[in-house]
Amino acid sequence: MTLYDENMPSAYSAKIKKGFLICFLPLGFSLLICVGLCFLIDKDNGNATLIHVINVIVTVLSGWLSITELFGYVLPCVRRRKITEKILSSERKQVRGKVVSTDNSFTLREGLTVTEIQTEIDGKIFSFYYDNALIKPQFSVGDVVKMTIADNFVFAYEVEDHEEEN
Amino acid sequence: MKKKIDLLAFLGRNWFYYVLWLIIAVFAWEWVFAYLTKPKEEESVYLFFGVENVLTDEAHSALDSKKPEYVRNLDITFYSTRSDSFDVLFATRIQTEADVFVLPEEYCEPSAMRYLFYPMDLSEVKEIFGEDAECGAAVCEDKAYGVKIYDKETGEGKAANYLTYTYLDENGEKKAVGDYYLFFNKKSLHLGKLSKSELDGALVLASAIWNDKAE
Repeated sequence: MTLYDENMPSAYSAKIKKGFLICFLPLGFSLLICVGLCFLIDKDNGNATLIHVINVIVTVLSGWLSITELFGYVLPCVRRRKITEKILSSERKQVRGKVVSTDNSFTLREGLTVTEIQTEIDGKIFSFYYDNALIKPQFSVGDVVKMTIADNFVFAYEVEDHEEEN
Repeated sequence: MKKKIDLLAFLGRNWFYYVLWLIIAVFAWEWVFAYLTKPKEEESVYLFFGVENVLTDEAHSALDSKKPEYVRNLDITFYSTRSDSFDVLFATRIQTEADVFVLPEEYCEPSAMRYLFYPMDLSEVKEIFGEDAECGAAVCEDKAYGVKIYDKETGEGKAANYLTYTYLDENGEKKAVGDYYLFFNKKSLHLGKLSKSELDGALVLASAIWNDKAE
């Protein structure tokens, strides 16, 4: 089964554009509302404090929404596109080994979560990775798997010997 | 497929940006609203008293009710002219910002008066302050630059409810620097009929100080 294809970077680019719109349109719109409210300030009837409080709350909440979208979705997509482009352009090599561990997941700095697959090849343990956002590889510990590796990421795999559960 | 974000882990990694945005939003709007709601120069009148003491609460309660409606901000400050730093303070801020000054007679020096204070005809002085107004040393070339507000000889002064013109010397005796005069800043926007302006806050408040009756 192949995990990557040539269309993935452009699909990520479309997601990033959409993500940026979701990120900044509400923020821009709420700032426009706040600026509009500023024109309603009447120094004599003392509504400035109320408008001040509303503007702070609207700005903070819309900013937090944008931060959540930016750091939770857009930047990981950017990182994923970069890694995907690197994987697609990297030299690929075939390996065959026995999966010994798939438990270790960790998050890279931009919020991209990957899983480490430790594989025993000719008596030595090698670590490969797959992006958790992709379809989870259908193999488990003890399986003998033939994998195509690019830039240390699992590009494609084929389960040769599936260990039966007791 | 977009996976569910582990919210706690996500917040643990990115809390700094949320806090930073909160701080930026609060301070940015604070600055904007301070600017938007700040009284304009034409809505502020600044009274400066170079006397020994001013009871500012009493001064505000006496003058706030008398200020014209357009005046949103009445700024009252005082600083003794005997202080070492008075000259610096006067040169840097007070002489450019104050609309009305109350200063001792040492400021009745002709070149200083011509440079700083608004020249009035004697008839205008009588019209604003009444027939008993004296200009004393503040007259120069038929122009009155100020009006005497405290007489050292008699110890009588205007607005004695909140203005203290005297200080106690080392022997515990009351002394005054000299006679005190009320002047208008020649650059003030609030000189009303003197400068053919619609804003007359300085004149109205000076008149209120002049007419304040000690209890």
